[in-house]
Amino acid sequence: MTTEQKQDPEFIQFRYPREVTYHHALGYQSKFANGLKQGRILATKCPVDGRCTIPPRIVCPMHHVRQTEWVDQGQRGRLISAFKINFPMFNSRTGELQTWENPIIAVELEGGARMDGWCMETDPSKLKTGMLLEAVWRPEEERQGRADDIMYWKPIEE
Amino acid sequence: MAGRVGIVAVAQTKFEGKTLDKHTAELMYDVTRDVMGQTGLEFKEGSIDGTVAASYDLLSGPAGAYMFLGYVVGAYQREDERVLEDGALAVYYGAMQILSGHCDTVLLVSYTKESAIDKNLYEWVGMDQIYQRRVGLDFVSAAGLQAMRYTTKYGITPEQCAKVVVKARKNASNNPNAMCCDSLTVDDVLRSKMLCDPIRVQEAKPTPVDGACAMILASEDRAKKITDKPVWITGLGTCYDQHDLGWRELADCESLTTAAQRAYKMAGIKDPMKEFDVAEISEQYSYQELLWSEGLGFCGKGEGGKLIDSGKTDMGGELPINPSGGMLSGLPVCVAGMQRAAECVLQLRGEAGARQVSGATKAVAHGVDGPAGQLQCVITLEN
Amino acid sequence: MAERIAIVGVGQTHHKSKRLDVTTAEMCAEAVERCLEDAQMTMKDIDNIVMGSFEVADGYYSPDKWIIPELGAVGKSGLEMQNVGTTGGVVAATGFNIAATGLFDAVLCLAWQKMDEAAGAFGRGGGGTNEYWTGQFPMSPITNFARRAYAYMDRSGCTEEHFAMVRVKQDQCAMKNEYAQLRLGLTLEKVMNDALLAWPIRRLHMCPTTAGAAACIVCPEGKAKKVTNKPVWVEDWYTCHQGGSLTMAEDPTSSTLAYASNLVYKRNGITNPPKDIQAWEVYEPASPAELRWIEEVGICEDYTAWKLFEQNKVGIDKEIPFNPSGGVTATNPIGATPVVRLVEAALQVRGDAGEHQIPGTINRAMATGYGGQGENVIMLLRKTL
Repeated sequence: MTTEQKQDPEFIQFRYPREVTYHHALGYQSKFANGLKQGRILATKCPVDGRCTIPPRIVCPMHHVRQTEWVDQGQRGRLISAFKINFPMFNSRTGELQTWENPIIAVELEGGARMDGWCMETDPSKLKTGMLLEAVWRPEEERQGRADDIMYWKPIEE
Repeated sequence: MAGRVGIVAVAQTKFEGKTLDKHTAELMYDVTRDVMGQTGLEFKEGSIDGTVAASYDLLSGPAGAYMFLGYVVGAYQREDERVLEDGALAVYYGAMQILSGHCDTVLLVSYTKESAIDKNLYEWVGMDQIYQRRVGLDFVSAAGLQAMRYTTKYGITPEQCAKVVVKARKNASNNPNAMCCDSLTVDDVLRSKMLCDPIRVQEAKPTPVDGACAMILASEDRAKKITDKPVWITGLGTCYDQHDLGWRELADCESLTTAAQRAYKMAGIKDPMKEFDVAEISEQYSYQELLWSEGLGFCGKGEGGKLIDSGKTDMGGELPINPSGGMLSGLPVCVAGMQRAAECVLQLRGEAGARQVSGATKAVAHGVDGPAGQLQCVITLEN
Repeated sequence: MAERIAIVGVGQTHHKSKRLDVTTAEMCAEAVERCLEDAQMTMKDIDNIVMGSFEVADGYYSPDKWIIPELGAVGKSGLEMQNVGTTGGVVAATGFNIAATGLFDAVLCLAWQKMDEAAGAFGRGGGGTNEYWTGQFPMSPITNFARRAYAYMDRSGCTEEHFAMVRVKQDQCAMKNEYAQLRLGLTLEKVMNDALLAWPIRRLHMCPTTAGAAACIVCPEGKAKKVTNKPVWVEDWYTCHQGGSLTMAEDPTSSTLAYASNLVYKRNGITNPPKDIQAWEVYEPASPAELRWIEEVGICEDYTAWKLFEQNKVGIDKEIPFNPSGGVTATNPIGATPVVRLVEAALQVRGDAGEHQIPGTINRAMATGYGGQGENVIMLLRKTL
């Protein structure tokens, strides 16, 4: 038991943790998520200019026309850009903070859509814009219709 | 240059408990395309100038949800702003955009999926974090406190409150978009479980409810070109009350009285009971219809109970309140205020089907946000 | 009904990384009190309040409800707006529209952000990512700007040193602004050797987290002329959020700034931006972005702005007075930042920016807001009508 007088802090802060759980309905995007589970990358296509987009859009922003056509984008693409993050960020599958060894990349798929992904090659200096990449999927039983169902994009020979 | 502001088209989804097969964007798209189809307007220069949305990000998901939804309501390279309040405030602001001369034609959209998150949780977060949240106050308990104070001070009976619900559900049976139209008796309501004394489960707005609403506003000249049945916004008023419940006289709704006065002054309304033909108000709990009636000037202070007993606010009465069934028949928060205005528009265009108040020429729409109606918004309309 | 409008008073707090000495409401009241004092008005004179912040990042829902009483504004008309990063710009645009109706005497625009209360809510909440796709990646504004910076280097041929020049210039301006948060006395070496976050973005390139608030009062013409002899006229505004892409993968240069600026220039007779506009307060969350924004607002040719820094042409008293306040890499209370830009631009027009005042007559100033994947709000101010 200390005999010192405890000083009240001039300014008090208090923690207020709260957990918020959302129940999202994917709706029309379910087709994309199911596609991922099946090992396919599907994108919506604008009927006016043919642009394919991932994530899927309900309308094309430029023409405001309902996009109902889905196009399989194939399994390969070309590297557009890559970066590695040097600080811990949350893993949305596990909810945990972690470091990320694999660079995040933008890939332009055979079908024309561009998407985000991870690269198998961990050394960014070995990555060149335009290099050919192939999707490496999680085992089928682990796929959840999430972005990381495509575990990595692997550089392959032309 | 602006003249009056006209509402030229309205649309709403069918309100349902859980739209598990639809993404939020689909609800927004359906109502947007509906009003565009009605008017032939498109997202291009000289047509729709901008969009005003009303929604809360916290209800949609992560921080910044609207960024990924704006494109659905035509925000591509076009002006769009989002009101973080009940949809009635979007109607208020959309009208201001036109009255300022900045825009000629504005699309308004309001959307909410209550099924995505526990309503009580986010409303609890809406209380100030230091004093009220820490004692567990949320909007339900705030309403409970107000209901207790109001009914005690003025001797409003449980039967009078229950009558509000009975009327609401009966009216809703005429409304194809309404969610709940079961026929209830006063006994049914009073026998339902206590939710938050003195509010019973059947006296609270059903939840969750998902849905969206849209309308197109235009300047006077434009409105007359777009439709031969424009509905004019004649008065606008909002008002904030105190937040801490202890600072308020909960038995009165001063902020609503003030908001109503602001709107009525603009519109030249002196005797609301006589001059309005229909009222669509936001009553999340049964006692609120009685209390808001007082604030809107339909009756004197403390006379809300007598008003419902008189039958004047029933269908066929002097001033039917909520022919659509109101919030008590199932409307999402945030969408509610805009949908109230949309219902008034349908009434004034003679397009309200089985719930039509015949010969309606003047209407009042009302929206609310915050605990126990802290922020009130009143919009008066005429055809 | 349409009235010409002017800003008659401005105020901001001294921005800090943490304001542990005030609640959010108190911090807002501080900015509002300073603003009212600047306008020589009281809350009684205000009859409409437009407010906003990126409330979800602070962990709030509908905070206007408990901030209004702290301002002494119970009983007033008002509403809250939010558009993520451009929130302050939307608050300003809303205030401008409401004031221009002529229905109100004085409209108070208030924006704030108290990021010391968020405890990672922004990052954990997905930091401006959507709930389905980009939220599943460890994305954040840092990664967005890494993509932008990489694309800029690729297309312009500039080097990391040019990004450092931008940061040092911003810091030199901030050192002359008592309200700025980061006033560090930076050198090129310090910036180029700072912690690498995501190549080529270093910690010092990015905006800080800030607790701060800013406010301004807008009046229609008749009232404005009565209230002050230094009204700052609001010439035009435009909120332009969506440019067609939702992810930086689709377009790493995604931005509506060029489109929106050109639209505003065209309808206001501005044909030579660097000459027609004498003060710029443009929202640049990262130093590399400043290079691209200078080009997008039409100050120089695409992908050549880095040369202006090499030639030492950017600064408070230089040829290109860009962000004389120190900009957003010195201070970024996200929701409030566009209003901070507006306040700083207004001070420049009035000649009241003190140590960081751009010399000469400022006839026109431009302030912008930024958010998301290249959302922008343009606000154009004039000294005389």
